[in-house]
Amino acid sequence: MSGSHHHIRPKTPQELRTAALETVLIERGLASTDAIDTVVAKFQNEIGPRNGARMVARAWVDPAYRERLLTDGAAAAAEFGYGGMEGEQIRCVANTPEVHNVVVCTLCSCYPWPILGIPPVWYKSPPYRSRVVREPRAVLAEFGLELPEGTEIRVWDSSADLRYIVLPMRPDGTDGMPEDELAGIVTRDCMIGVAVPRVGAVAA
Amino acid sequence: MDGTHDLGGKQGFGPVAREDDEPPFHEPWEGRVHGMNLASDVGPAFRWSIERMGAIEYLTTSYYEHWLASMELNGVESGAFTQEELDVAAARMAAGEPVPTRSDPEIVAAALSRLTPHDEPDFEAPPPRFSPGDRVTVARRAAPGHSRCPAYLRGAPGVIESVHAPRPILDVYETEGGRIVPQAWYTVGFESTDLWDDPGAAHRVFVDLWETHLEA
Repeated sequence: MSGSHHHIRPKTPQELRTAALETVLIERGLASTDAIDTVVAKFQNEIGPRNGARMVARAWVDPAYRERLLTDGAAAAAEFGYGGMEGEQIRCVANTPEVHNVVVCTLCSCYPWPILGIPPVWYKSPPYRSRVVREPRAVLAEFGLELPEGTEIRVWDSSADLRYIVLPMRPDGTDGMPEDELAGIVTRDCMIGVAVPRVGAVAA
Repeated sequence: MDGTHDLGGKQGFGPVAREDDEPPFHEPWEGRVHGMNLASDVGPAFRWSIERMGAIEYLTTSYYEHWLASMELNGVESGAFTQEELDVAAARMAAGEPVPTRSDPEIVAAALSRLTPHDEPDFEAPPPRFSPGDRVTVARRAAPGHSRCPAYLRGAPGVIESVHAPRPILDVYETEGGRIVPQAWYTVGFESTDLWDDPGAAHRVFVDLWETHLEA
């Protein structure tokens, strides 16, 4: 593996504790250097919100896939080869002109890893976790998302074994846009529900 | 546990701070912690161990510091390793020794299998007590251990939105050393006006709760 950071001498208290734990796990045979390297590389290079964006774009162009996605999100993810830990059960909730969905985990930071990757720090932070269940409109406004007054907001608090992804509405002005280009306007935040896709957006 | 982790509806945390172009891991050590967690099994009490770090500590440390604290406590309690082993290793690291390396294709394969689609086992449990549309009340009483029932719901009226196939209730699994008690669980809908008296609030919150958390 190219990342030989584990040979760098630890300096901060966090680095020291991490190095100590890794040493014990390696010497006990509970983990291996290559397994840890493999997981890190997977999350740095493969497992991220581009996965979920491909599913959303497919649902926009293929009504049968949309139906499968809304029926069983994990099975629909597996069609792309995505799945595993923190994505064993996935429920996809669809935005409509009447309903806007937003996802949180107030108790910890549950998140559909296989299709969205590692959650952003704000998703794991006390301000988001405490506020979005109680004042979603104010939180969404901070993200720059002002919803019409009549829109019903549904907040999904992932407190058990089900992970959530929002299926945003396909924006106007995307007729005839190819699927991979559509995936390009679906940002991570659209699939958490704190943003909506916009033509011209560059997905993170 | 009535811990600081149970944040839903709490006030006073200020605006949500965001970062543009955030990387998966901000420091290499965060990646190592994430990798260690997925490449090993140090015990069944991952979240329960985070919740016991202490209120002030929880709020003043980062997500991956929570994970680090959890793996340390969880591993010591489950007998995967001892606190003395951690202390000795920390002293070696502080003295400048590098982390030892080891290759193990079996552990790599096991880690990769956790990152790919896999079948979940089916669990047997008594038939569900509730059906979609049923009105329920969230149990008021709180348990001392890990709980998947957020405190902001206690005593609140809700409506069963959907019923899910039995899964081991995590409250028992994490608190009681991995004991498996399969139970029906539900997605339950709540009106925000039944939870808070905030002016202008009108939204719905949906929460996944096990049968233990609900009363008729």
